[in-house]
This record gives sequence, structure tokens and C-alpha cells, in this order.
Amino acid sequence: MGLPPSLVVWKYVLRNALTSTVTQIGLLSGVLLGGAVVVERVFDWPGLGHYAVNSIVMSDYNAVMSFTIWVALIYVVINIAVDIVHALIDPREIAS
Amino acid sequence: MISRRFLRKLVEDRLAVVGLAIVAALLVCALAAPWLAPFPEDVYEFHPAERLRAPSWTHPFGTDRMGGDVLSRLLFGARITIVIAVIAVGASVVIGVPIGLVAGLYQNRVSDLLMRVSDVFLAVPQVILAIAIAQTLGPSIPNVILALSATFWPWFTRLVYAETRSLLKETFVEATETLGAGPARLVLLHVLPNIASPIIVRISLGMGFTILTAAALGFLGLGAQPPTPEWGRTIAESREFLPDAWWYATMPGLAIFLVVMGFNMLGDGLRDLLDPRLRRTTRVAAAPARGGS
Repeated sequence: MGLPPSLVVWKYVLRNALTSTVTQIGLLSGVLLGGAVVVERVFDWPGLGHYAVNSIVMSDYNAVMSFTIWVALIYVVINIAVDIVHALIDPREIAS
Repeated sequence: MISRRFLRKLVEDRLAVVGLAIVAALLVCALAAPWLAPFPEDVYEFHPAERLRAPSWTHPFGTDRMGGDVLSRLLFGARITIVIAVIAVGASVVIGVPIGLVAGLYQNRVSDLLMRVSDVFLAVPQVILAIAIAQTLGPSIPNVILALSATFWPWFTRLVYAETRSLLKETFVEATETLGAGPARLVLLHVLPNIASPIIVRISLGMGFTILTAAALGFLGLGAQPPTPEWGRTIAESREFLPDAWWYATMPGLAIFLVVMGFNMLGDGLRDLLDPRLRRTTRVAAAPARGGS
């Protein structure tokens, strides 16, 4: 009767389903970084977002700018990692 | 597109109807705020003796730190929410769609340049870029609208670009081109009507996301200044009175939740109706409010 269902699902279906899931992870990490700013404000966590909000309140332009660029860098690195994982999951992607 | 069949199918989709009802209710609240609100003057007036009263028959949603009626302030806040969302999404459509069309139609260096520019805007997470813009230009509602439009238009550009590219490969478009149709005729009569549905869906989902981001910016103090009854700002003001004055933060929070939920359900319903490729099966994948494709 062919391969057991568990092998079909875990080896073949999962690999194909992962490609779009991984892409979503990359995009959603941006929402996560933006949400962190609000969450750190709500719970008073001394994180990057808290620093950003304090800089906004004090009109510290340089701090806000460096925060924006730093977060953008993190976002870009995450998305490069997503692309690499994408290529590992589905080697056909490299050709295109 | 608005045919009787379309309306019947929309009515059959219960979630879409609920979403449409919520959006319609928001519009009514915004338009009729001065008549619906029990204390319209409370938006700008102070009643120190009445501050932080629990919900009662006179004040169904309680009163805030200035003694203002929370329900009245919420109704007037709906106006600000609607204005921000409509102008920001409208501007994104006006900027994003033509750029996407031009980039998709001409496959040369200019289209590459346009797409790379939109990639640069997408490289910074939307909320972060909006925070940076709103902070640089100073906190006010017009600047929030500007920040939201500046961060939302690349999504329309990418959508229109991808759709235009795939449409140009269709036989009927090639045939029209062979018959000698110019780019203007091609775009207006053959490309735009065929990409209208995904744009409409993205507008509805984008409204919800824009309202959410606007509330986040207001919460961080980047939007309207007091005493403007903006919802996000109201939640920020109410924080120091939690958990005693629970109604003060809960009511605007519920309002934001309901409105964003309404736009998302309406957008999902429209997507099911208008986009045959995505019928039902991709509901879960389509759920994130971020306008990603």
C-alpha cells in the first residue's frame, strides 16, 4: 500500500508546505519588530523599542534614525536568512 | 462587477456580512457623532467633579480623567479614524497603482528603478518607518497620514506590478497589442479592469491594518495631541488609571478591535468572491493583517 501516511506527511508534504510558511515568517518578523516597540512601552521593558520611544519623546533625532536603520538591518538579515532557508528547502528556487 | 449575483454571494458569506455591518456602523458613528453622542461638548470641556466615574445610565462607558464621557469621545474618535484610514489608503492607491502599472508595462531600466525604490521602502518594517517619519515631521494627524501613506504604497506597487506582468503574457492582451493598441488603451481597457479585484481586496484589508498602525502611533504619542479623542491616544492616557478605571482603556480598545476585525472580515469575504484562485483554501494563509502577498 505504498509509503505510510506519516512518512508522506513529514517528508514530502511538510517540505512543500514550508516554503510559503518560511516566507510568511520573514514578512511577519517586521510586524514583530514594530509590535515590540508598543509592547515594551506597555510593560516598561528596557529594550530597543523603549529606547526608541524615549528618544521620540525627547526629540533625539539621531537616536530615532539609528534605531530605524538598525531595525531595518535586522529585518533585511532575517529576510536574507529566509531566502537561504528557502533555497535549502526547495533547491529549484536557486535556478530562478 | 456589482451584479445581483455578486450581492447574493456576498450575503451568503456570513462573516463578510458581519464585517460589512461593522464598517457601516463605524461610518454611521462617524457621520452622526454630534447627534449620537450623549455629551458632544465633552470632547473639549472638562468636568473635574465627574472624573473617572464607572459606567452608569448617564455615562454608559464611564468617564475619563477630565470627566469627559468616554462614549461621546469614542464616537468623535471614529471620525479621526475614518479620515486617517481613508486618506492614507487612498493616497497609497493613487501613488502605488500608477507606479506598479508603469513598472509592469515597460520592462526596462525605469521599471527596475521603480521596483528597487519600492523595495527600499519595504526593507524597513512598516510601523518602524511610520514612527521615524512621524517623529521627524512632528506629532500631528496630517503627519500620521503622511507616514502611513509613505509606508503603505509599495504594497500596491508590488501587487499591481505582479498582476500586470502576468496579464501581459495572456493571449488576449498579446492579441490587442498585435492589433496596434497603444499603451494607454491597453492599460485602461484591458489591464486595469482585470486587476481591480485584487486592488479592492487589498484596500479593505489595508484599511484595517492602517487603523491598527494609526492607533499604535497615537498610543506612542506621535499622532493627535490632547484633547483630541483619538482612540490610540485615549488608551495611552488611560494607562495610569488601570486597573481601577478599567472602562477607560477597555472601550477604545474594543472599538479598535471591532473596526479592524470588521475590515479584515470584509476583505476576506471580498477576496473569496473576487479572486477565484484563492477561494476558501487559503483563508488561514491570508489572515495576517499586514498587507503581504
